[in-house]
Amino acid sequence: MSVADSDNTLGGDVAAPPVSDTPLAGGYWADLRADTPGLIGVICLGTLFFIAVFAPFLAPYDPAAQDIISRLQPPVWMAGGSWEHLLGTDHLGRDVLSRLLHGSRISLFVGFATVLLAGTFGVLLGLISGYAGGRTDQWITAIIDTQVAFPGLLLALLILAVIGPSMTTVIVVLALNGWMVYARMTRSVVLGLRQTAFVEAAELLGCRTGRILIRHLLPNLAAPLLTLGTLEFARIVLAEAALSFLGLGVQPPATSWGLDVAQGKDYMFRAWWLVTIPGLAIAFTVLAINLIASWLRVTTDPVEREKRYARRFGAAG
Amino acid sequence: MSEPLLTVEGLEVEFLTRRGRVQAVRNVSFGLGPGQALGLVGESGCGKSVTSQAIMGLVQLPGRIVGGDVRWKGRSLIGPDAADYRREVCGRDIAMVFQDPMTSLDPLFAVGDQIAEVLVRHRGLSQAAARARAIELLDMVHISEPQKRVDQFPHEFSGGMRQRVLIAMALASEPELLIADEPTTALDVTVQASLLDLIAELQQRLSLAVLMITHDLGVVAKLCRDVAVMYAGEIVEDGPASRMLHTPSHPYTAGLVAATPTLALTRHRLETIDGQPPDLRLPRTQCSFRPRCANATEICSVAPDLLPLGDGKGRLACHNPVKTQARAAIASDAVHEAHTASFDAPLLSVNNLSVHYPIGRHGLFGRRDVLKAVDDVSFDIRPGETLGLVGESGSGKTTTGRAVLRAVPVTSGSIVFDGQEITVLGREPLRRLRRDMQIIFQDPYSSLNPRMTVQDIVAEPLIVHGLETEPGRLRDRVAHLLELVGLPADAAERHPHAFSGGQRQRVGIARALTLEPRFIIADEPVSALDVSIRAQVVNLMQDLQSQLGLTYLFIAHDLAVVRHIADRVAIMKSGKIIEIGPVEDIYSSPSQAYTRALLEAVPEIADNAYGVTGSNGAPSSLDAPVV
Repeated sequence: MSVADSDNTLGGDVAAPPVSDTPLAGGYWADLRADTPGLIGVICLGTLFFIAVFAPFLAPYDPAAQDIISRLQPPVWMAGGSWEHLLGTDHLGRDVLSRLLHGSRISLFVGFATVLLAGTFGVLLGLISGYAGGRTDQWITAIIDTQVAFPGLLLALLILAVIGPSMTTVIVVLALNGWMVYARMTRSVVLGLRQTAFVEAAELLGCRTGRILIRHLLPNLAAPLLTLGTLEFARIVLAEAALSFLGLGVQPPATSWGLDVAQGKDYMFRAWWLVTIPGLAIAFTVLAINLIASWLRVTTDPVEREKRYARRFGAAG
Repeated sequence: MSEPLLTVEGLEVEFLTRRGRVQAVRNVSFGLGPGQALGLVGESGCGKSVTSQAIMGLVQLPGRIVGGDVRWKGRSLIGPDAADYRREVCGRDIAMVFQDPMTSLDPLFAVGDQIAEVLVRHRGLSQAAARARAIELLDMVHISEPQKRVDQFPHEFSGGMRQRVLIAMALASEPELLIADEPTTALDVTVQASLLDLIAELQQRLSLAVLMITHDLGVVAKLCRDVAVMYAGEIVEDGPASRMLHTPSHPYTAGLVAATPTLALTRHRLETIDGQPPDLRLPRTQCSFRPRCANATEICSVAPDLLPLGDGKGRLACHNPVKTQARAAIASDAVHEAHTASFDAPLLSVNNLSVHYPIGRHGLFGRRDVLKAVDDVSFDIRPGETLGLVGESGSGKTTTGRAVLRAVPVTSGSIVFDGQEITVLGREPLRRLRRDMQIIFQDPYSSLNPRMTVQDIVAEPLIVHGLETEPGRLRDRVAHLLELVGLPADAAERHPHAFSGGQRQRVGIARALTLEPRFIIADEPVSALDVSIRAQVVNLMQDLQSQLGLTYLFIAHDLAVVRHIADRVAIMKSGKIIEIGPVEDIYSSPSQAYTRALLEAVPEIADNAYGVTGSNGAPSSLDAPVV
């Protein structure tokens, strides 16, 4: 049989330009090392996570310990600063550095938990909506539209006023305000994928709906979801800070960056570092995440990846 | 030969990829004089489209031109110094028509405005003059009622009409050279035929030079006086079409000619070119065709140069050219014994099947409009038989196939499979039915989930039907199936992207065979594949049929391929089967005018080798907009 032994050479896909559609040949790590901004982002975020996990061991003081006598001390490099309090103290004499380290825990945890909760809920609804179509789709789309139209802050105020602020409530409130993006994106991607032949093939093979959603559709959503999730993470960190700033987020004696900014605002002109230092921490985190997101966007898109490679190679040689 | 209009000299284009430098075009040289028609022929990935992009200055990262020159009337078009000249020439003197008429027009503007834009920009006409000229141009490409249609939007035109509009747009700037990159590949045969006639006519009338890029030798035969065959980024042979298509010298050209199905022969095995094109990342040391060449000898380890033939009839890059005639070789291949269309009870019996779709209504309480996608269709298929279902796009052939699979709702009629009425089956019995009835898809790229390995893809049917769950036995089953369809065993661990189109289609066939079905619906299984690969897959399907006793419903728009595989053929038009019968009868003495039109429209190598098919009147009536 001439056909059987004909084409034994694999990898001969010579259509130009050849573009692969699996993640990466050398793995994400190898790709990351070649992308400096992305690498910086990952290192920064990794450091932040390290700090968040080991905050109790790293922090020189109890973040809640007050010491009225040494209140409003400036950071060490300013006149009147001391090595005892590297980044100075706040209006109650609490160590700013310790509060910063501990605050990272809540900020990052809230970000993570919210993205996970909102993502799961949104993706699930988006999958169902996009795949089922018809009435179901109309209803879910209507819910999404209503939720988008409803002012997020008002909803947050309502819920927080009724239930009372706590970290769990903050997460739930932020997730309630954020799931629509995932649902919409998932729905639009699924609407496209539903028409493709491999989904039809799965249906005609006798796959049940659940399997099609989980095995066939979800993996093809991984790349855009990863990018979206990363960007949302940055947004959530800011949103938590905003809620805490308004006094509706994390409640003292717990600490978060947003809360620190809020409490420091009254002393803005006498002790600028109380607002600036946690503010910088927030900006720094968001920047790191955005660097990672833009790297992920390029890396998960085969066409963009090839272009980036060619550009770099063309510049070098 | 007159002074060349376009000269391509030693053109080299490469693509920088993470997996290496792909040398897509290697040392390509040719010239094109005024009024000449050159066919640039080759399979996907051979560099023919990249060559045309290089001429138009359209090569973009990750691709780049690394060597050679493209000259228009003696002046170079390549490099930063030539940017002004290139902008001046490309689009005005050299115009291009692309493959996909559906995406090449801006849906937001009337076609007349799009043509007028070219006139205003390149010819400096006023708006009013441009509009008048646009109407003239539409008339020139045989669009009826151009005054009315000039204000219509692209969605109001069918595919063939849009391609005409694109040609009109290309001609607006009064170019001297028209580059047509697979202009008819996405279209139906009858539409293709009328478009080829149009291009031939315009070429004559405007003494236009044409560079026709195509994989279809039949198209070349109809239109071009000269042919250049590309393989692995190089021109391996060129010369007049009359010689190239009938007594080709290069084994690859001969293989292409032999692998092209013809209407003349029935159910013989198609000639194939075994193997795959070479990896273009590797340096070229030996002859790139050597691994697939039957004539290869020791000397072929040195790459041959493209040298002029002694008789001045073109150039050839081969150490051991073919001596015999390509076509003659096939005739000895004996006619496959026709399948015994026995008196068995039919495996599948379709009676008065209709599938209607609602497409809105007139006013709020008005009559509901329906689209009769399939309209009162009846046919039988006996065990072991292949029924070819042929029709143009929109004829309802795919819907018929889907209806038999119960993948679209059936409006009325009955489908009896193996004595069982299947239009009334509920969800679970239908799932069981899937084990007996499977489908092979048209597009081997989109029908395989890019995130799954071949192992997962082929094993999935067994898992979802709960027939096999033990990983070891699953692996064995998949290995067996891959062997059956001629894929290497290590294919199982790879993802679909690692394979070429033909290999992916084999994976699709393996998946369809996993459940050991008796009946397979093949929905245009080879129309997305290259000519030589197409032959491999058709032969594989025939082999599997005789080994496993399969029954096929073979849906296609390509009459030539159907002739090779089918026992009986049904012609569909507007949702109805207008003619059905044994292959020999239908092809030799069709009773319907439509069938005759279809047969005549197939571009064949045997057609007039000097191009220029006769006169052309109004566009084919088949060219009317679809629904």
